[in-house]
Amino acid sequence: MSWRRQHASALLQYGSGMLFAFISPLIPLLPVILSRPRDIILDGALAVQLMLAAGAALWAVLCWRKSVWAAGFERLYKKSGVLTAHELSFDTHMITSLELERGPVGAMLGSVRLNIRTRAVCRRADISLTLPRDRAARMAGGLIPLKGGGKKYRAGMRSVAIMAASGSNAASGILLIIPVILKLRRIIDSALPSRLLGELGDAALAVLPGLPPALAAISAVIAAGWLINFIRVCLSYAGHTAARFDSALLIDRGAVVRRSLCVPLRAVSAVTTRQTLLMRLLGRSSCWMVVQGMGSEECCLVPSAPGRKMRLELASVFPRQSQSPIIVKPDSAGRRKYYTAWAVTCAAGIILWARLSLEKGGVPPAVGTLAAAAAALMLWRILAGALASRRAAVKLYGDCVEITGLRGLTVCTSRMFRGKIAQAGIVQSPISRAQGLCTVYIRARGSKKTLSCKGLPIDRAKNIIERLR
Amino acid sequence: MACAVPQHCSGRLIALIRVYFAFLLIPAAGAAAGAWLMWGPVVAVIPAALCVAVVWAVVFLAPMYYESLTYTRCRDWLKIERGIICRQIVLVPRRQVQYVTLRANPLEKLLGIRTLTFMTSGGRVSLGGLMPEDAARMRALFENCAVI
Repeated sequence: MSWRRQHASALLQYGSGMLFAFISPLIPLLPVILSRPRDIILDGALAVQLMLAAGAALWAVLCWRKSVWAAGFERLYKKSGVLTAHELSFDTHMITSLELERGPVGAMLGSVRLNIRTRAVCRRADISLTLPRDRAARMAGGLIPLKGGGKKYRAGMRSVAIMAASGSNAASGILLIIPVILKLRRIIDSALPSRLLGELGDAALAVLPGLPPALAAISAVIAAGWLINFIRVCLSYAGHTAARFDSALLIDRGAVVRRSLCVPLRAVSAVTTRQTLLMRLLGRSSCWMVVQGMGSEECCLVPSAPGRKMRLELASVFPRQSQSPIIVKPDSAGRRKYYTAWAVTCAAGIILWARLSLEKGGVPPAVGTLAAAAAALMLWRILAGALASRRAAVKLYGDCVEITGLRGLTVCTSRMFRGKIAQAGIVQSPISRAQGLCTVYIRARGSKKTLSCKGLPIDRAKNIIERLR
Repeated sequence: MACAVPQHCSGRLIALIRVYFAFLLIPAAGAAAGAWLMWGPVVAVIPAALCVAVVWAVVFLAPMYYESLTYTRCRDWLKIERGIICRQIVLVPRRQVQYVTLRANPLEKLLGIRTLTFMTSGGRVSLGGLMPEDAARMRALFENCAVI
């Protein structure tokens, strides 16, 4: 067994953060420094800054030199750390996923990042190695062999765009843009955020005249956040393909950073079909996998496809035993639990708003706009609840259990393999107990989220949970 | 479940814990001195009390914590017991351990001890203050047992 170093491009990864922190303040100052008269304080500050940058570069070299890996007989080893030494090794049969990450810099330098994960709860990959492209491909092929190439699914850009449009969250986009603006503010201009906000507000006012300026700015920021996240999702899922082999799945995606994820079938605990209201209107749904060791991250199998095509794709990737299932569905009282509370809240809000607007002075326009936005959100939730109530069910097959319920604003149908169920149970509130109803929840191994089905008759739910054991 | 006797870690762990506590003495003493100079001795009583607490921890708490920390190697489990005020008992099933990492920071290297971290499918559990040979033996014992 011989210890090897990573590809030299790993240096960029080790040093990028610190180098950027030390060099970035110098970029806007350079023209001033070059054109000014000599000043001992500024010269000293510049020298210290340059020394810190050199120190960061040296640290990156040390990190790279100290980080070594080796592949023994069915075993991987890694040592790292300059001051604190870390050593780890694990059997290759523990691997639950392998990801090859090819970024634009890596493409130029001929290197690939190989992220190896096991079932262990780890924030990032258990082992991450930057390797030459051919060695990484050879190593990935050796760790998870892809034999007997089967059917390949290729998602078009339309499918990806529909998934991005229906699932994009404005908050993620805003969270993405904030660090970028803060960094730019430090480098270019300290008044950048307020100027950007003002321009966004002006743009919103042009589209929706009459809005108060603060609300216009907020709505423009939300729209910008949504758009940024939409673009990010489109770029990260462009060119999505999924192929099933004898014992593994290979998923390729990404336009700027190309990722190839290889998952052994034994590591897949559940397959979830998600449908938002927008997807429902277009008659489509998306399909995701829960892979052990990937934490809350779920792998996209099919970005969006029409219902019939989705069923065919799923049947070819994860065939189900053909025996007739035991089905438990909510009755009419149970179905009402999905939307009644929201409908009552919405109605109460509308009544309150109507009363306030009849009073002297009426409702201020800002409150009216906010109330309308809240009402629209509630109406969206009621519609999603109504859709979920029609579909909600727990189906028990020979080899798996299928549960349909509402998660956030999305109707999810999760098919969990019986040996891969981490938790299953029944919850009853006092009201449900009086009605003889309950909520069944199931969590797949490796997933942090449970999926629950509300309003089921308690005796039938107990029966199905007993059978799950 | 045949279990071995509870074992203590290396006695050098006491020195390590003492050094960690002693680091706290620097800001506490600085705060006490600063408060004395700026607002007088009455205000400096609080950071001074903190200094006394840290000295007490260095002298008495470190050995007490060491005494409270034991580990038991069973056939299928590792049992770690620790804590003075809040007692904690951690059971690590061998079959759930995915891999074990061995760590040594500069202080640990100086004292010749190691820290093992058991990475399981439910979280991570650390056991510090082991002699290098004990750490290597335990690492070999707990690896290669996991099931997917």
